[in-house]
Amino acid sequence: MDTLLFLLVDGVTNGAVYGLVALSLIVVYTVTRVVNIAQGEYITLGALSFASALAGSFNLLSALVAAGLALFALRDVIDRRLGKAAKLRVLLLRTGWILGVLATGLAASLSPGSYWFSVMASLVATASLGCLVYRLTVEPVPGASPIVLLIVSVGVYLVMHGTAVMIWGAEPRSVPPVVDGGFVLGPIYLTYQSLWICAFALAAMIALYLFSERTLVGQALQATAVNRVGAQLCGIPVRTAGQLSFAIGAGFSALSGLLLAPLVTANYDMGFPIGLKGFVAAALGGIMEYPTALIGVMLVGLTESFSAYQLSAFRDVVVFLMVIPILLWRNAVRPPESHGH
Amino acid sequence: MSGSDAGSFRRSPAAASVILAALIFAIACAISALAPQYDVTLLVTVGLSALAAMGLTLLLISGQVSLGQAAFMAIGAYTSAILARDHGMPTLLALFAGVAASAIGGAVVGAVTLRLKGHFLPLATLAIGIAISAAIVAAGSITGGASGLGQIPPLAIGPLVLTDDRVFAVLVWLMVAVLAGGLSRLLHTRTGRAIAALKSDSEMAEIFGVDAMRLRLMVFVMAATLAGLAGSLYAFYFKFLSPAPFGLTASVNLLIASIFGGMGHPFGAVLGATAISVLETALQNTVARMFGLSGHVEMIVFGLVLIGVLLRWPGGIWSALERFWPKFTVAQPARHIELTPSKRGAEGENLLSVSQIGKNFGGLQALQGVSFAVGADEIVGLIGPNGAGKSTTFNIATGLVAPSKGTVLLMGEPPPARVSDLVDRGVSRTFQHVRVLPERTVLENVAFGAYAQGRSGMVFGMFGFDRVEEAATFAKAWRALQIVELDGLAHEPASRLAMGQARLLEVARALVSRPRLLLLDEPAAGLRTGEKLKLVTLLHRLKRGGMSVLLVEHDMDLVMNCVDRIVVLDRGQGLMTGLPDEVRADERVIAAYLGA
Repeated sequence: MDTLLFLLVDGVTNGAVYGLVALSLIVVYTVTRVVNIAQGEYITLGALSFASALAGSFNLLSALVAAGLALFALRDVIDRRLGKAAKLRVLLLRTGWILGVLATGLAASLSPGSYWFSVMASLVATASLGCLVYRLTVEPVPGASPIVLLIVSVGVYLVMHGTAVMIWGAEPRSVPPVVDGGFVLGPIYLTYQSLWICAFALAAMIALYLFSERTLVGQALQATAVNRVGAQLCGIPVRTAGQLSFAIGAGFSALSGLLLAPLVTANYDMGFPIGLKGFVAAALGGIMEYPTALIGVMLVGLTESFSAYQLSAFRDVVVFLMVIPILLWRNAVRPPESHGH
Repeated sequence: MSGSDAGSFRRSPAAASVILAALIFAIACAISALAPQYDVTLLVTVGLSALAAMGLTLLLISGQVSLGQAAFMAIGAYTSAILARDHGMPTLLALFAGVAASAIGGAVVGAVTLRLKGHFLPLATLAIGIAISAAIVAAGSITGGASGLGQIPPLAIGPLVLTDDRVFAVLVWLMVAVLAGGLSRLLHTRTGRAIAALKSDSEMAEIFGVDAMRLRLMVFVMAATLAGLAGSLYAFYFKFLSPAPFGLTASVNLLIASIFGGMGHPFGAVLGATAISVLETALQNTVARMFGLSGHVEMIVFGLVLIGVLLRWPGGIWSALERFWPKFTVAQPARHIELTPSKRGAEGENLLSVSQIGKNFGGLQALQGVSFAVGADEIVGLIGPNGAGKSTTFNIATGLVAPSKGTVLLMGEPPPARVSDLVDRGVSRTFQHVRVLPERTVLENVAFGAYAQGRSGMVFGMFGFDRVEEAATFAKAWRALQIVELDGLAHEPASRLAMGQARLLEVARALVSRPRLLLLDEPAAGLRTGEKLKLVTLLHRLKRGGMSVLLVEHDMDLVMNCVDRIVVLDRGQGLMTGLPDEVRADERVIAAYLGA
C-alpha cells in the first residue's frame, strides 16, 4: 500500500513535468505544424541556465540570445520598407526586449542564490531563444511540408545539444531544491519539491488556458492554429503568431527543466528523453487539445512509474505500445486532418 | 513497333535510372577494390543505410511517414542472426528468413496502423519502433540484450563464403544499384502513378480502381522488406548485433538521409545516405583532427549544414539536381486506336436507375423521394438551384454515400461495396473541384485513368516487364488527349493548366477508363465560351460512340444544348423530368430558378 502511494506521487510528479513539455509541443505544432524534435533541448537549456544563474555566474545563454535579437533588430530596421515612426517603434521594442534579457541575466548574477531572479533569467532567455529559432529555421520556408520542418528541427536539436555541451560541459550540476525537506502525510513522505512542481505546472497550465481563451492575442493564436490562411486574411500576423508559439513552447519546456533539475541534477542529456515522453503524452491527447493531453501525461507518468516497479525490463515496451490502441481509438472517434496540403 | 518503342524510351527516366544505377555500382566497385579497409566498412554501412532509407523514400512518395524504420532492420538482423547462429540454418536461407520476417512484421504493423490518419501514423510507428528496440533489450535470453549477440557466421552463397569485406561491399552495392534503379523506374509506371495518387488524393485514386488500403499496405511492406534486407546484411557483415544501431536515433537518421537526399526520388536516399556519411567523415577529419575540437563541434556543424541545405532546398539535394534528370515523355504513337466503352449494355437496359432515394444528414433532410434513370446512349442533365441536392444525388449514384432510403442500381446491380470496384462496373466520373496529380504531366494524369485495365504490379514495374502494357496505356492516353484537344500540352505538368484545361484533362482521364456511364460534375465551370462549345460537341461525339452521360451543371445553355432529358431538383425533391423544351417552358422550374 505504501509503495502504491509512493508510486502514485512519483507518477503524478513526472506527469506534471511531461505535461508542461506536452503543452509546449502542442502549442508549437498547432500554430506552426512543426513537430519539434528540439523541444527537449529547451528543458536542458532551462535547467542549465537556471543552475548557472543560481550559482551566480552571468549566463552565456542570455548574452548569446541578446546578440541574436540585436542582429535581427538591425536587419529589420535596415531591411524593411518601414516609415520612420514604425522604424523607431521596432527599434524601441527590440531594445527593450534585449535589455530585458540582459537585465534578468545580470540581476541573477548580481544576487547569487536568488531563486526568482534565476527563474526569470532562465525563462526570459529560453523563451527569446524560441523566437529566434522560429525566425531562423521556420520563417524562411513558409510552404515546407511538415516532414521537412521535422528534419530541420532535428538540425536545430543537434546545434542546441552541441552548444549546451560547449557552454556548460558534460558534468551534471546539482541544483538545490526550492524548499528543502518535506512532510509525512499518512503513510508516505512528500517532498516539498514534488508539491512545488505540481503547483507550478498547474499554475502555468491555467495561465496558458486563460491566455488563450480570454485574451485577444491568445484567440488570434487559436485562430492561426485552426486555419492559417483564414487567420492571415483576418489580419492576424501569422509569423508573429509563430514566434509567439515558439516562445511559449520554449518557456514552458524551460520551466519544466528548472523544476525538475533539483530531482535529477541538471545535465546536457536530460532534455531529449523527457521531450520524448512529452511527445507520447501529447500524442495520446491527440496533439491538438489541451485538456485531453493532460489525461495523456498522467497516463504516461503513472504507467512509467508503476511499470518501473513491476517489470522494469519491459517498462518502455509497455509505455510505448500503450500508444497504439489509444491512437486507434482516437482515430476512430475523431480523425485528425490529413497532410494533404 | 519495337523500334519506336526503343526510341521513346531512349532519353527517359527509365534509361537514366539504369545508367545511374550502373554508374553507382561501378563507383562502389572501384572504391571497394582500391580503398583502405576502414573506408570499405564505411562503404558497406552507407550502402545498408541507403537500402533502408530507400524504403522510407517510397513511403514518403506514397504520403506516409515512418519513424520506426530501423526497428524493421532490427527484425531482419536478429531473425537472421539467431536462426543462423543458434539454429544452424544455412546463412543464405537465414538471410531470406530475416527479410521475410521483417516483411511480415511490416504487414502486421501496417495492417494495424495504416488506418491512422494525419500525424497519428508517424506517432504510431515511433512508438512501435521504440517498443521493438526496448523489447530486444528486455528479451536478453534470446537476443543477448544490451550486451549484444556475437559470433554470427559469415554469409555463404552456395560454396562461396563471404569472408572478404570487399566482396561483401560489392554485393551490398549491387543490391543498392538494382533496387534504387528499379524503384526509380517504378515511379513512372502503373503502380508508380497510383502510389503518387495515394499521396495527393486517395479518394480520387479509388474512383479509378486503386484499392488504397491495399496499396498503402504493399508500400509499407516493401519499405519494411528493404529495411529487413539491410538489417540481415548488417548482421552478416559485422557478425555482432546490439540494440543500439536499431533504436530511435537510427530511425531518425534514416529519415534524415531520405529527406536530406530528396524525398521525391529513390536515388535521393542513396544520395542522402552517402552525403551524410561523407559529411560526417569530413567533419571528423577537419574539425576533430585539424582543429582539435571536440565531437560536439561536429554535431553543431552537421546540424547547421542540415538546416542550411533544407532551408535552401526543401526538396533535398535531389531537387537541386533534378533539372539534369530527363523528363518523362512518351511519343505519340503512329497508329490510331479507338477508345470504345468496355462493354455494351443490353438494349433497353438502364445504366443507372435511382428510385425513391432519400438522404438525411442528422436532422437535415437533403433528399427526399428522388427518382430518375439514365438509359443506354443517353445524355441526362441534373439541374437545380444551389442546395437542391445535386451533389448528394451524384454521390449516392456512385456509391460514395449510402442513401437513407430507396435503391440505386448501377448496370442493374446495387453499387459495389468498395469505391475501387466502381470503374470495373463501367462507371467513371470527373470532380467538381479539379483533382489531378499536380506534379505529373498531363499525359501521365490521363494514363492513370487506365489503372484498372492494367495488371503490372510493383515488381513488373521496377524491372521493366510492363512495356507492352504501358505502350497500350499511353496509346489510349494520347487518343483521349486528342479527343479533348489537349494533346499539345501532353508533357506539361498538370499544375500548369488553366481551370478549363484541367477540367478537360479530367474528362480525358475518365475516357481512358473506358466507361459506359460517365458522370460529369459541373464540367463547364471555369470554361470559356469556346471551350464550352467544344465540350458540347465532345459530349455528342461520346454519345455516338456508345457512352451515356449524367451531367450535373449550372450552365443552362450548355445543358439545353446537349442533353436528351433533364431532371430538375429543388429543395431535395424531384421537381420534374422532361425534354429540354418542356423544362424550359415549365412554370415550376422558372419559379424555382428565379425564386418567384
